Amino acid sequence: MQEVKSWVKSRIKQDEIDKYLENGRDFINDDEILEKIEKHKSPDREWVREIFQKALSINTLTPDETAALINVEDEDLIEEMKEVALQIKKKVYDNRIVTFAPLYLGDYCVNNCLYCGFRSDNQVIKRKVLSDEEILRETEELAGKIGHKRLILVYGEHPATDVEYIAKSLELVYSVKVKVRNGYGQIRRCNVNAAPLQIDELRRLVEVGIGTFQVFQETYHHETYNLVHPRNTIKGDYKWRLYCMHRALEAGVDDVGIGALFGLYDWRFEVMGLVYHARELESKFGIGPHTVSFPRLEPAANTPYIQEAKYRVSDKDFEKLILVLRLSIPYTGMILTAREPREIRDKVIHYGITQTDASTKIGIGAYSDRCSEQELERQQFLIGDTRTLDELIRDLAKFGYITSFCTAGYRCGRTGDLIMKLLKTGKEGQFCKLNAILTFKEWLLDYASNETQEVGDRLIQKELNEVKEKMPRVYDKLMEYYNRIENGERDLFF
Amino acid sequence: MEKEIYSSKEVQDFLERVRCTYETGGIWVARRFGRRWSFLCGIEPTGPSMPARFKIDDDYMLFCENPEKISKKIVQITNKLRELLVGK
Ligand code: SF4
Repeated sequence: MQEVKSWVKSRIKQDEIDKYLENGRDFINDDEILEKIEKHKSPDREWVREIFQKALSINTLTPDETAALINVEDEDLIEEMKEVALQIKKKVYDNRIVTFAPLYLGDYCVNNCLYCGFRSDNQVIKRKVLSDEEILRETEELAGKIGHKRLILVYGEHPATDVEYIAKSLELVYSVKVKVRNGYGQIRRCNVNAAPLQIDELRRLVEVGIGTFQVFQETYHHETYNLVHPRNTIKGDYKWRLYCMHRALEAGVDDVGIGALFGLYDWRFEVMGLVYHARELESKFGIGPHTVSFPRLEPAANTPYIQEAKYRVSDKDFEKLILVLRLSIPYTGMILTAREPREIRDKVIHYGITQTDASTKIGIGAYSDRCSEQELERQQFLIGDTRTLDELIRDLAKFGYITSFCTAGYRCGRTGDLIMKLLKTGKEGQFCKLNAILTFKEWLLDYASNETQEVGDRLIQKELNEVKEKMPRVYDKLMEYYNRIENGERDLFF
Repeated sequence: MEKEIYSSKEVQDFLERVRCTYETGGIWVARRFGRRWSFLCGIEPTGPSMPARFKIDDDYMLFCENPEKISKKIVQITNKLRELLVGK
């Protein structure tokens, strides 16, 4: 107990906050945000259309422009916004969707966030941290049986899951190689969702090959933040959390993921907060967020705060906030998770979503347990869409989306500033298209059910025809790789 | 306040000169972290192709879009890059 207390005391390094402040203030000015939302209550139609054009040329919007979009009520304009969102997605990421799975490694947490099932005061949660063997078993299930290539590893804030544990678990996950139907299964990219870390700790994670470092601010609204995160906890320090992406980029992490937990405060404010955050990172480091997440509050065991929350986001507002974010930070990846029910996911996937999860289990150790039921005392919250990866891929293919398992950027250093440039100029989309075809084919050969294979192969044929027509220069090379993959080779990429 | 990675103007200028002289298209240096290669500095590729890779040392790799014309000079180029990146 004493050890945990002294660990908690050592966490926040004030100088790793102060160095980023301007005149002692952070970059979220609550009054300014509320003022802008109010000021642009009835935005002029022509101006809104100009904003659409700006977003279409893959330029980050200003807070005023975002505030204007937030206030669009006209149904016709909202329909246009949906079109624009899809066009942006197509321009930057083509018809590609990336899939991943969350892997929860531990649910011990020293914090006491009112909305979270894992909070330290919650006695009904069964606490556990995965051992080395259990991490390997979970990974074997994910990479060998289900067919995932990307994971997001999730940790509570606790000395039992400190940075050394995180680094070790990344190495363990990367070490797994499992024989599958035709090739082998392996996790090619490990993202991390953890508490804010110190700069030296982040450097440690860079050394072991961290993918995206993801931390959500939960709420950007200072007062609400202080209300839901008790002051005597680490998480009670708003600025320590707000500047964790500054520290990550300074430490050399290439990709950072930001997000807010929608439902803690007014969704309009959170969208503005995310845009301010993206612009701040762009201006200080030349790199915006690699991904943006927008989870909604979900029921959790013995957590009455959620039922009583007064800012819970309706489905209609949820759709709108996704559209506004898609337009406001057009180059960024947008993550829609299985927290959301299937009907919602099937609808908003068309608003510019780039990443989603499937076969999701968020109980600690739940993948290798093969437990099919959700158990609230083992989970942070309840998930809404329990489709398997095979089912999701089939459904996406029916919609015309190709699931990409590509991690080529990591094989040849197309990361960081370089990928930002390629994304903003629309060039990355071309690499993505080719790599999506190749990695999708690999997946179909190695894991797909017959039904998914059929639907998937039809989609691939359509994609190949498109490449032949639009990128004839690379078509022969693509077919060479494609045939080699059919003959058993793996991991070929552009 | 900069990202704390090596991105000296010297390396960038050198890669720029190599690109012009040998018509390499995109040419960039990446550093190894665990199993991944992370962009350090250079010029982005002009279009999709599998980049050629030239080892600088165990930690650094040169990636190049059109390697045809630099292949003969690659030893001098990677030596120079090693000198600029790690000082030897
Ligand atoms: S939200 Fe995160 S930090 Fe807060 S109690 Fe839950 S696991 Fe801990």
